[in-house]
Amino acid sequence: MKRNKLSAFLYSSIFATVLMLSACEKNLDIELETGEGALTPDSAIRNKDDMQALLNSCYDACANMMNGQFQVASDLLADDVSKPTNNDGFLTGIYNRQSDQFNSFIGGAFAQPYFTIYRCNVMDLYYDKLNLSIDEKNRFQGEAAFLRALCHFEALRLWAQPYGYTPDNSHLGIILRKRARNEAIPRSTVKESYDYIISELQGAISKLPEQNGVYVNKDGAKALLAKVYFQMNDYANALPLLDEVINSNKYQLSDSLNRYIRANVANEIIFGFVSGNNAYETGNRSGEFKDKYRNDLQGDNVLPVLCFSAELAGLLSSDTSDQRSKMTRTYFKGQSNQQLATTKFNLNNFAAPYLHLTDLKLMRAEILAIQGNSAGAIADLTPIVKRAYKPSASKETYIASLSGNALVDEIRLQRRLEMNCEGDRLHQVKRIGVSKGPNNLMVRGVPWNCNGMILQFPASCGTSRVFQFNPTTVCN
Amino acid sequence: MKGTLLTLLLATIFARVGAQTISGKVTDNQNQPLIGVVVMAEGTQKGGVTDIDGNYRIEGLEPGKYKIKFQYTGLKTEYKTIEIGNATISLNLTMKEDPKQLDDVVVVGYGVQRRRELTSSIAKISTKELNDLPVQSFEQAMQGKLAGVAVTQGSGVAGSPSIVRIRGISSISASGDPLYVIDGIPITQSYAVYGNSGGFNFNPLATINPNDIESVEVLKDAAATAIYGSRGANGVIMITTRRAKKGKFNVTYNGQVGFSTPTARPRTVSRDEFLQLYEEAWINDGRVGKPDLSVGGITGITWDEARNNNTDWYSATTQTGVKHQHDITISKGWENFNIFSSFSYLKNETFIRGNSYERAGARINMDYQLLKNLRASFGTSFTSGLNNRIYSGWSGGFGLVMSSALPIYPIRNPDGTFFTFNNSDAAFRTNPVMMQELYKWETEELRSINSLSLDYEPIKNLTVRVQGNYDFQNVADDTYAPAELLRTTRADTTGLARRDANYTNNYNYTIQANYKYDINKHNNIMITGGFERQHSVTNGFTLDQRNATGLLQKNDSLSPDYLKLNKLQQEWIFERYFTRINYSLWQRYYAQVSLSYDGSSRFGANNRYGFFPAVSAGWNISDESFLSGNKYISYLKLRTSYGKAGNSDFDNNARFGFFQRSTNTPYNGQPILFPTKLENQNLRWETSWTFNAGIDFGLFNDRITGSVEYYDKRSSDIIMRLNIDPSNGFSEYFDNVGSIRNHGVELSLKSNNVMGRNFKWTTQFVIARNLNELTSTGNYTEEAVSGGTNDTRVVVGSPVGTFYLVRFSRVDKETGRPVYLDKNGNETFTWDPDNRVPVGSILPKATGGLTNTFQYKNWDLSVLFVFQIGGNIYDASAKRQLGVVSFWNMRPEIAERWQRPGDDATFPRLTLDASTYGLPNYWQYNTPMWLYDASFVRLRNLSIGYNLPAAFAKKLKIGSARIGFIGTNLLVFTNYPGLDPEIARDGEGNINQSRNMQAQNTYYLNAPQEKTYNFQVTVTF
Repeated sequence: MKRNKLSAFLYSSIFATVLMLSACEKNLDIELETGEGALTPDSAIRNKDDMQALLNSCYDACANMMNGQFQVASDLLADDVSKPTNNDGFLTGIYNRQSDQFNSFIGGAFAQPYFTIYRCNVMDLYYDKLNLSIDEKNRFQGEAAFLRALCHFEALRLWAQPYGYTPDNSHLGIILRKRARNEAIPRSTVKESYDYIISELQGAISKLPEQNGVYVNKDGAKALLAKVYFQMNDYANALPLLDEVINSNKYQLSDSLNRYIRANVANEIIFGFVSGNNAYETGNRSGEFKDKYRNDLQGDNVLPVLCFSAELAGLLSSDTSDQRSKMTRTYFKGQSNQQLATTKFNLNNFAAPYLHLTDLKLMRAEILAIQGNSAGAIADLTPIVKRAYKPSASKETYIASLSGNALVDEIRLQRRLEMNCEGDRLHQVKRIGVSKGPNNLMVRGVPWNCNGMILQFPASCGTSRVFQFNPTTVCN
Repeated sequence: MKGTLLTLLLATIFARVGAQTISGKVTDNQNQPLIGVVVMAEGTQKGGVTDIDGNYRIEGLEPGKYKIKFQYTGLKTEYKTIEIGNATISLNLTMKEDPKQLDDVVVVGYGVQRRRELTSSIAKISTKELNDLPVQSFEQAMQGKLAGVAVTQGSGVAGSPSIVRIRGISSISASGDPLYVIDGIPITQSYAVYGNSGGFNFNPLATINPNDIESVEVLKDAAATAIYGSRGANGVIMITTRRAKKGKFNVTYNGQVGFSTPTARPRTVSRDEFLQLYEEAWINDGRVGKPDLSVGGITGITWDEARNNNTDWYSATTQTGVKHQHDITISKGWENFNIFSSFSYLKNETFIRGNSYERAGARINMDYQLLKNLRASFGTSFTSGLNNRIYSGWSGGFGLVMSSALPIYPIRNPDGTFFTFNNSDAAFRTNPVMMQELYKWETEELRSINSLSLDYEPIKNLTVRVQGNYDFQNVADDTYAPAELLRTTRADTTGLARRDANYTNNYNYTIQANYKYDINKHNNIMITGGFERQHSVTNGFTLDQRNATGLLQKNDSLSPDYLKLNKLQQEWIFERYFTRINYSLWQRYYAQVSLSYDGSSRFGANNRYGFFPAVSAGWNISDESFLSGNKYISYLKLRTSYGKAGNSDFDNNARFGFFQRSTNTPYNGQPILFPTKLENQNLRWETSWTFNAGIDFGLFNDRITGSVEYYDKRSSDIIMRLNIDPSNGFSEYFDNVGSIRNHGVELSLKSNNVMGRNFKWTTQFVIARNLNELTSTGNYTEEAVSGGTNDTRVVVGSPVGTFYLVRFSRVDKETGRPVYLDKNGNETFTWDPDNRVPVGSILPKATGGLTNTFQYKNWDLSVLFVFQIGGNIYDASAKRQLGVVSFWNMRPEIAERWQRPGDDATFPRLTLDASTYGLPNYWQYNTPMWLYDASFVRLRNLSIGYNLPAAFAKKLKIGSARIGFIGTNLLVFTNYPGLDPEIARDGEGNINQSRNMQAQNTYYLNAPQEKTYNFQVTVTF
């Protein structure tokens, strides 16, 4: 018995030793896959090339945001499109100006600008850790500032009432994300939001190079800042910037009316996103445009999701010499349910041209017309009209005769026709609404400033205790 | 219990060669030979096991007087005293039924224990109970048979997984599933292999052949699961596969043929009814003239054309499914070696066309006594599962039959091409017949589970076991869409084949020792200790092939134009040091201490290891003198336990912050680098402290046996995938948040009502009541935990999976508009999410089952009812089928609608415009109008069989034979007006979280369960 206990002790000791040895070889550190899959932050960003790749992803995320998502949301709220033909609840909810916290279309769209913003903010963490030249650092910082401003600006225009909605712009804007950190931040006011966007763009102008390939350059930042001022009805600040870019003569209007065919309009684009061009469409930046507007793949009885509103269809059809009316497909022609849809998005791979000369010329034309400089305004408007109306020159003659409010209205009409279904209309009616005052401008039957004319934030924003949603009441 | 490890161990250890021999035959009271009876000469180490003919032989006995013990599970243990001289003695015995079921052997994790020595809560189900109904996946057969083990069957779609929850839900984003351990191997059990596609998740248990299983033990309380420490918080299901018994060569064939139909047919309105409803909505909305279908989102067809069609989409997409299954087992046990092998084939067609599950597999289990004190065991299985899949539920296909496949649509155009409608919001949600015919979809799983162990007894009472295991799983999900199908939604002009492949290599090994130390006759200690390490690596890829003409079968057949993307490797390592000390005093008082120190790679360096202790005690009161001889109470035991368990079954890389570099999706032709998730290295173990108290009892000489248990499980540091404000740049973040409490009672009863020679009747009843409450969300809001839906979420003070809805008050008699209640109970016409309140829960109040088994001569009948009491079902489909008129078909109940002022109606006026109902859109029509009582009673199984008389079988030169009929899901009693009250739908997003909070009892276009009729033949040669 005693011997048995001794043996038991001996064997137990051996067993324990084996366990200890096995403990020595154990290691719970898994080898994270290196390469493309999963990189830890420090192994991901080690040099200038990594920073450039990170910056590329900022453009990439921003291009995804502008692949039609923001433009479609904008057009649904305004008056250029009819009720979604698929009666999709979420799209129809926006169209009815009744967006809610659980609208998955909005939920998906809202996250998009903040992907870019976060990535740009991550870049801030590495400038001093990497060996960058002054020029490289300035370029990175300038591009990041531009993209941060662009994303905040686009989000602000959809989720907050416009600049001028309250006299001091103390109404709620959006959350401004200025650093890469997971933290609860309340919404800033619209004034704070615009101040921040302007400061970012001013910083971008000072740091960006004159030429920067397909990436944004100094002119791009100026053009966006002009657009921001224009949205604020701040013509005094917008005009010099527009002059600088337009008068540089680096950009020319193309002959093509479809600026989504990039090859045809390259000289017109001040800044635009870039699309890949392979069979799998992995680099494609136009998914939402195609999903909602494309109409060359179905038969005559299958409508695209979004068609023109009757009002816009009427405007486009009113002048047969307007070549823009040719970029349409007609359904159920002559019947009571006739519908028109745009064909400008019937393409495979494309990306949105974000800042282009047509837009800048129309902005300047409107400012000049408002300021009483009819000649200047007509000079900017004429080449756009000349391009659109063929072969007759009667339209050029007509606009040459305009002045005052008639000229302003014509410029605004041409903007609407020129940039239909590009997400521009909503922002114009709000800007004009601010200038006209509350209840003086109706958009598809409701005031420009009613609660339903902005999007509701997704429910996930409510995970922060400091967050305040937009009012849930709708436009009546 | 037939064929337990202990039986095998005894049989092998004690068999010896000797001059004096006792031999004989053991039969039951029907004079049928009994296989596997353990026959022991008490006081010696000599014994044997009966063979297929019931014969045994004990050799090597010295002359003298012996007490021979005959032991067989389910029969009364017999003792015969015999004196032998120098000659062989014959001793035959007929064993009788023994109602005492309380002393069988149970697997407890790293060992076995006798039930009477248990201090923890362990439920057991044997192979017979497991195989008495035809199931594709074994967990379905546990339903209604184990108290506290709630099994909800998946839908009638082939391959859909069940939801198994032991004692409620105590996890949210970590898996709420129990840990499955097969022959000591914690298997790969991810339901998220291909996420959520086709309306259901992957079932990792589908390739385990139920016929290979000897027993299933469910470890429920902390004392039982503590030995699995960090992985036992949601219970452990131990599966022991079959092994050969010593004796003759045994061959058994089991075959089944059956038919599948749905438990209910979807109810939708006809063409004329639909058009009438549409027209009424058109007029109600103030529109005039001929209704325009496009206003409701119905495209591709005019009002007049609609009248030409009346398609029955249900009939066009369903069938009577044929099922058949064949199992052959071959086994043989020698003195020092035994081998068990099985070969199985199964094909289950369901009632949905093109949908089936096919499985072929083989298993070999072997044991070899190498030396007197050294034994080697080996087990291996190879299984191939092929799931021919279809779209269902939310994803389209069969789901469309209940939604947007309208009777006014034709199946084909006049030119023979398929009619398509694209008024749905996802790819492929069009003509379900077209999908079934053109879309090819196969998921193939190859699975091999292997184990090799050595048991060594260097000295008496000390055994050392070394076991190494390998579990391999390859899941390839292949799809093929021809150009005709792709053109409905995309610009593709060629066929596209796609493969999503995953390979998981799961290794583990265990080193353990058991030492039994008898301090004296009345004080005994058993010490178990060991180490286990597990390492799992999953790799995979997705591959798209353009210009394809069919499914991808091999990668080497690719044409140059393909795109292959490797998936992020998933790797985890787990290790554990464990010990368990059992102490018994006078065979009446028992105590156990379990300690486990576990580490997981899923946690950061500071929180990697966790310590999981448990203590428990048991008292066999019936062995006390004051109960000795009591004619009512034949067995009484009190046991209690308290301990800690954990859960670390969540995303492998959750703690890491990652960047991803991609050259496949470049920007401007240049690579992109971007952050993909936020880091949290402070993640720590989700833990549960559980108190358990139970009474096991036997009454009237164990004619009635059972147990009652109470438990209180308090879980904290719940691992949650939180929603965060998307403006952070991410929408999710993993953290340990809040706490959950589950407490409840369980009752198990078995009554041997009649035990006559020719007629026997046994009743088993189990019921469990669980109360679940989310007690805290820590520093986060409830919205952070709620997930993306607006109908089911968490609310502090309510159960996990609470329905959170705007209350519906009534239909306004004058206007026909729905009237809601605001938070204060005031009526309003506007649906406002701020007015949502908790109105119900996915969790039932009680679940259970009732089994009655009858045996009359050679006939047997088994009837199993399963039931669920309380809880709610939210029918998220009804808000469209009975809501705003659109491009969805409607249900006949809509007849109860408001039509004119003064109507006291169930449903509001018809409209095409969601704003009429005060809604932002038709998706938000979430009100308790669609909330129903989830109670049901279901005739889960009806089995009738006839055993051929032994004499007749012998004439046929077979050992035995049984023919039978089995019907499943034949009846259901419920107040739920939908298809089927048993709902386990797919998990979305974070599969774990969805399966915990939403998958059960939240209905959305799911296919009903299937009702099957099966004929069975079992022949033993």
